Amino acid sequence: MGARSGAAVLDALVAYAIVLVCGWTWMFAKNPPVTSSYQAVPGYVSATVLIAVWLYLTGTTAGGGTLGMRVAGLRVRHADNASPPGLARAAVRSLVLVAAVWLLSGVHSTLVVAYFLLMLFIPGHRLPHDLAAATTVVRVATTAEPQAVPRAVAARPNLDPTRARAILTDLENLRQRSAGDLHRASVPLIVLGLIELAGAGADLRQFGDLFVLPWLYWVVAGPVGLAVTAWWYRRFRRRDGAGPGERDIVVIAVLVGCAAVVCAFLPLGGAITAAGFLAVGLVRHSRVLTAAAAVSGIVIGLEQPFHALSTGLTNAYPHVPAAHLLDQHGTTVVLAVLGMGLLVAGSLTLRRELSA
Amino acid sequence: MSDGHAEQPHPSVGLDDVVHHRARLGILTVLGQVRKATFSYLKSQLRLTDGNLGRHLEVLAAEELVTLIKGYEGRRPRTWVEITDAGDAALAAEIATLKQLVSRFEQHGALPRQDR
Repeated sequence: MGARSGAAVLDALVAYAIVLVCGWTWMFAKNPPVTSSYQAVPGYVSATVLIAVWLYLTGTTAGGGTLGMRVAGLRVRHADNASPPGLARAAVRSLVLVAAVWLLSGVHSTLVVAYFLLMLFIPGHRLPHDLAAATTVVRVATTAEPQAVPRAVAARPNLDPTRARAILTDLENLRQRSAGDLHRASVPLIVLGLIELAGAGADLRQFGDLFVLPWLYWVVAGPVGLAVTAWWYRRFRRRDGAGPGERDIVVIAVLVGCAAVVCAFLPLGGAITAAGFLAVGLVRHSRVLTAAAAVSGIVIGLEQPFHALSTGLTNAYPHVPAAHLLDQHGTTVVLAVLGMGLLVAGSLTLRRELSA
Repeated sequence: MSDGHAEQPHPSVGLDDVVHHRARLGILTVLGQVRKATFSYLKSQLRLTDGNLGRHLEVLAAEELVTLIKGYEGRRPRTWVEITDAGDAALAAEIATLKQLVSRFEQHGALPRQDR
């Protein structure tokens, strides 16, 4: 999962480089030269970019993996026989991928992230383009030889299969028992829920001149919420005598803080906070938290189009009071609903964790 | 004590190995979940004695599958055990081996004992 995200980011950078090269070529070749970067890009330039990205993906995937995947130690394989996918399959896979990313980013860029997060819910971490081309992404072994098990934990060659099954059952019980001791998802879920409920309050647009409040709120709320989560994990680890360290969450909190400060004047605070909790969900292997953070990030990310929609509604139906209400309090309502949902999910998880 | 290094298997050595195998895989399994745990947590989860667990942890630490961190909580000494990347890999590899063994047995499971 981490490797997949890393590979996706690297390939996005390659695609961005392709976009830049195509864009610059067009700007210099055009007569008269383009002076403003805001000038509308004609359709054929976008088409060239899409085809170039598609060719890049097809060419690299056919041999077994894109540049990003090769760096991250991943390969694309035929789902049935584990061989490299070949040109035709690679072309289909890349076509579906480019089309999906292009169409989704046309609606809103956060949907692209949602598309990649689908892999959490498809067996074998596959994505629609993998399913379409019957491929799968696998991790390559770092060493060529088959993985040797250290002597201390390797079974005797004459181990009885019945006994092996008994050991496996035993270990599975042990795994579940110790997993039950971890209070993994409930606290961050509740914290994120509270942050969003309070965000609903901070986002009231009638603060008027105090319009800086929502932004300031998100700059503070994300890091503080993550710090509370880290502290809570630390407390549980001290009490139970077991649990992962909280250092990774502190690092995430600091990164979220930096990102929030850097982006303080873009309406990205809510999305950055959600991304921080998404990272916590990923490093703590909690599907509930990852999914919840992804959903809230996407909903918050969609706030701008939503706002445009509600403004449009108000203009279209100026006499309907509900439209005005939606326009003025839409964000508040969305955040409040999201926060309540997270609180409910968090308390249900907490109850399950405590009873386990 | 034997760690599976003995070339000449005495019957009791084999039995020891099975028990050790299970205990050490158990330690790695618990740590694979919680990442870091105290000595006493492992002891209660695995129902091992002090000496037994200590010995297994030393063996695992010698192969760098776990790291032992001795520290204090207040004035009481407290040992934390943390799993390493090699420990994760070893656990995954051994579980895969066991699963393979079981599935091979189940595929030919209709007449398991006849050729023995």
